[in-house]
Amino acid sequence: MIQIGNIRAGILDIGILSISPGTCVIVGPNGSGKTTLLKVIAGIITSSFGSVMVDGKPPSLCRIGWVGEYPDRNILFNRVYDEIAGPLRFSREPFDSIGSSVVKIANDLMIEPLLDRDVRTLSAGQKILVAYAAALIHKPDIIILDETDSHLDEEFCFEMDDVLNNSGIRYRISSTHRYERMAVADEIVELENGRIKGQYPVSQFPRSSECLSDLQFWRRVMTSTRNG
Amino acid sequence: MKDGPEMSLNNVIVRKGSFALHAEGRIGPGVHLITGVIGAGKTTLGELIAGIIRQERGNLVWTGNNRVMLMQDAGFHISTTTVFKEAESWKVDPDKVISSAGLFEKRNSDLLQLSRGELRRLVLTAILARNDDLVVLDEPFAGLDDKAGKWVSRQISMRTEKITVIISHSITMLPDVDRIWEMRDGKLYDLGIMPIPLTKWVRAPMLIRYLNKAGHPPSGLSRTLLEEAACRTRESD
Repeated sequence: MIQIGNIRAGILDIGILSISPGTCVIVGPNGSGKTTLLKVIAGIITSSFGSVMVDGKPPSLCRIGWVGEYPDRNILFNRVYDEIAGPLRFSREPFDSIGSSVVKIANDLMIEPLLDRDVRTLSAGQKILVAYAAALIHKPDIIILDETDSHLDEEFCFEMDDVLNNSGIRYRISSTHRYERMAVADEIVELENGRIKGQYPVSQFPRSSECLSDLQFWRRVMTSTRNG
Repeated sequence: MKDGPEMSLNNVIVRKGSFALHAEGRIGPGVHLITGVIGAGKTTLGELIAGIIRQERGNLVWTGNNRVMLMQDAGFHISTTTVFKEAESWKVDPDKVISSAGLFEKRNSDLLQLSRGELRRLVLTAILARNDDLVVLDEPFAGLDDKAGKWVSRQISMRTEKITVIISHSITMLPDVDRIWEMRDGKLYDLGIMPIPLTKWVRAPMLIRYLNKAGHPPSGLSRTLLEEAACRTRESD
């Protein structure tokens, strides 16, 4: 469990929030505190009172993977290999094991042929895969996707869902405005003005009078079109 | 084709590193949707149409006046420090733009204090207020909540005499679209005038495929028409 108690940071004002292992989606209007909440969970923002615990540990003792809205913005190195190896080098893993980890994650994401390329010469989609690889390589306890879906087509999103669901990462937390992305979650946390408006298993998210804002509708669309 | 500004692309080729884009076609007044998978060259095409980059070969003829593009990352547009100064820098009525963007209470805020969605709303509102002959919007709905998305869509609908080119993966917030184009492997394909492309759109998003399959093909791509078709599938359950 991720347990958050009495956190105030920026607009965020949360009494109690528990997030179970699995896929959790944070939703809410612009400026409602989605990114701030994700930063609190990741330990990027700390609050002088209150507490955040991930399976009993503070976020600073956990491994966190983060992919943002513009994943290529956070790229640090020129060569794809160096970018992906970064997190392991920073945590001083042994040299040999880093090499095999890079090759393995690059294989999983089907970007092994790109390892020697300069990141700047990649296409937008390839850069995003590199950002995912760098976030996943140290087998994080939590992977955070902050509106990463907003510039991606749905097929790409589904493929990444499969990668993440098979990755063994305990907590997969994302923020989104897209209903079809909400429909694939286990759990939804809804924010409004920095406060928790509601927390629901996806099947109990309030029905909307508009079909296109109704998760049950989107679940039908997905079942029908993804299984032939 | 309606009277008004027009762009024609004749055998145009643009190169960016090892990527080459080929484009051919005429873009007249109305709303154009450019689709295609990630990396297909949609943004490069948008930059060409908006006059930000130039073609290496071929002929591009533009009969209108001002052109502008909303970039995917609205942060790239920032040239000042506060909400008010930024709105003013677009040479439009700043107060009007700020209140339409729903940011009146933050009019003197530092731009760095806005959320990404709020910043996008501000820049988008300023761009639309200029009413230029040609506007390219690269993922205008990304990072916007429902309310803001619907507002943007209404603003675009009012540009009937002008050209609006929308690059978008998200199809549930669109205004009425007149023509669909697809970028595929660096080449631009004209899928035609609505509503014909919806039934023969090979790589259509799953919502369109679902509605076609359920026997309720939408008659257009606007939010209203898609909502109508979606609800019909619910009634027939």
